[in-house]
Amino acid sequence: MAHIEVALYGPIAHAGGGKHVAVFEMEIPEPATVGGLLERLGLQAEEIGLVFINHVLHDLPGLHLSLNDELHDGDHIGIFAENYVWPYHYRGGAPMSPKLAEYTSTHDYLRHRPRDAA
Amino acid sequence: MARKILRINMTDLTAKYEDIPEKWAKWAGRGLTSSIIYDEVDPTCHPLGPNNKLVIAPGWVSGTPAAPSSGRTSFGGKSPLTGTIKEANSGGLSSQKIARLGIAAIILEGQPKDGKWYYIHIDKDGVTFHDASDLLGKGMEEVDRIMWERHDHKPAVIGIGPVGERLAANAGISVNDPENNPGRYAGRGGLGAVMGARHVKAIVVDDKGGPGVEIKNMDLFKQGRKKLTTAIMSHDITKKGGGLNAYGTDVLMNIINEAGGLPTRNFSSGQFEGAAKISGEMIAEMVEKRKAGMTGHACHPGCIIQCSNIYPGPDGKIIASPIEYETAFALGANCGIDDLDFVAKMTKECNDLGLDTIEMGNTIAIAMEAGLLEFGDKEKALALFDEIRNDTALGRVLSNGVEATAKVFGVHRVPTVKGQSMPAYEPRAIKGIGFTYATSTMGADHTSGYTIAPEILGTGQKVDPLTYEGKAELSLAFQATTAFIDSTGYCLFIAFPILDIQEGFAGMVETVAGVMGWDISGEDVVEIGKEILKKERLFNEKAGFTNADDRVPEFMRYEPLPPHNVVWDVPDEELDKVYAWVHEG
Repeated sequence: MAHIEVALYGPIAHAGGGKHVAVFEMEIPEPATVGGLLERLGLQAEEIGLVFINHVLHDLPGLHLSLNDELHDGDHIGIFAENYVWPYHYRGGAPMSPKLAEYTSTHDYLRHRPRDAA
Repeated sequence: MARKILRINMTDLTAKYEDIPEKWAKWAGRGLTSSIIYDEVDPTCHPLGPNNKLVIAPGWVSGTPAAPSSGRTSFGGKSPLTGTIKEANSGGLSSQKIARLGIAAIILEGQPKDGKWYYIHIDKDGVTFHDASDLLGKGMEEVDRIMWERHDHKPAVIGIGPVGERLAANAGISVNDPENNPGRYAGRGGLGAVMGARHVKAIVVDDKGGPGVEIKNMDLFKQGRKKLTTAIMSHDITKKGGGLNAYGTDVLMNIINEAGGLPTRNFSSGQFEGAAKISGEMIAEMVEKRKAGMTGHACHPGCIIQCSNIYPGPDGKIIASPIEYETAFALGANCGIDDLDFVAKMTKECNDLGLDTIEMGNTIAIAMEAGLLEFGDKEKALALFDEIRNDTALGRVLSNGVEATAKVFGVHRVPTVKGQSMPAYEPRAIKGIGFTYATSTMGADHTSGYTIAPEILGTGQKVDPLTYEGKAELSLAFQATTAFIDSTGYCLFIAFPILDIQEGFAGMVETVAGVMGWDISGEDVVEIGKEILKKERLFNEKAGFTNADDRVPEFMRYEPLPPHNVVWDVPDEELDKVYAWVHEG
């Protein structure tokens, strides 16, 4: 089992027993993935936007690159509802996952919701 | 009716309405304040001396019928905090009222020979000067209230608190909101001291019976207004119930904290364990729980984004309005304080005394670093405002901002660029904002470089995270676009929806073109913005600024920032590319 810390922000906080914010710890069986965590929490991918794992940006709204990424013991994951945005001028140059880095080197990274995102 | 320049001379207490000269005819808002300062103020003058001026200008579309979220007023002058040119803008009632009186800009110059203090009343019949001696020492809450008691028609009140009277470098200019509260500030850069140096405590603006704003091409204006309104009301962040409307600007608190870029305890960490407790989500929770105050508050009439809030205390009584992200970062995370009620109480003090909340919070953090009080000591932090209110020597030091306080107490970790302290994004963790902090004509400023769509930029859409290639050009395009939007009178937050929704961007430009009778499109925005930036940059150069001033503070270059443990490592030559064009061609 992996012991992780989860933070849910916005309306999705209900999945963690909160109204606007829920921060809690939980055990999930390994190998654990972001997609598997969402399933356990009863959240659909379309409900979530920005995803941070250990303070590294993995997903933008409409861009679900992290669903198959693994979560490990001691990890922190922060998940925001899909209507949160992090404007590029306050985001450019911040640490991001290798998958997101690859995406941004070939696709749009300036918009709040990349044009070719779902 | 053609717009006029209202020149108010405090030396001989005269007011003249002048035809707008050709060289300024195209400008409004920041474009106009910066043009006037560039043309009329000696860059080497002392900001508090007789030769500086305060220029106040509404934007191109301010005061037009129902242009959405267009109530920003630009204030310009040479900054006592930075020594650079400065434009700070504010919401509140003033922009639309000044515009509807047919005034393109108010130029406030000179100093009374008799040393007396005045307040100025402006309406359709002209300008009157009033003795302000009974207002001296009063906070902005009382000044706003008294002005509405003395003058009809719920006028705009532009004013300075006690720190502005003392000519402190962190004195902001307050504008009253629709409820006549003093929470709207042209806060940054100490322009309140520039107003104070003219011995003007307040400027009251009543637009009743004014001529209104001329719109040269109403069809184009209406077409643009519709497109822009649709974009604002359909975008996730600006629509009703969207991120900004539900949680205010403090919606960013948890995001930036998750990213490890939230400046904490005088910029010593990028994470604050108490972030959620001072976030926009918590503001919404408090408003619901205490059944008082509100979210989704409009800071000026006609705003459809409504991102402001009114924050209630445990007893349901209102403490302050608004709690912004920047406020909660500076007076909260950066001081290690995780109590929203105390953040609100300190915000109220800032709004009443006339202080910029960003600079003030960062100043308290410096005092904490110096050992004057502990990080997280909310009671002592709040008590520091008594020092300012009581005008003690310590209060004088604190009200002059971060650099002054750091110098007095021997602190070398000073998070400033060109004398102005950094807002709520750590440049070591979020490198892009560092380009703007370092090179902005205004000093470290988070509102200088809003993102523009790739199509308008005419560049590729992709961003290679591994190189700095193209980043300087991006920062320049962002700064130029922002200078344009700062000239419109629109709130900068319209930049959020019009980035994703191209029709909205086109609509924004069409409203400006409609008012001015121009034939311009989105492609012209960056070039028009660059004209403004060039004047500002040249003013700063004549004031003695060089590329060596376009740098982030030294400690950020050697001190790794947790949790990412990164330093600022952007090469200087990359920063120097941002404004290299000013002297080319």
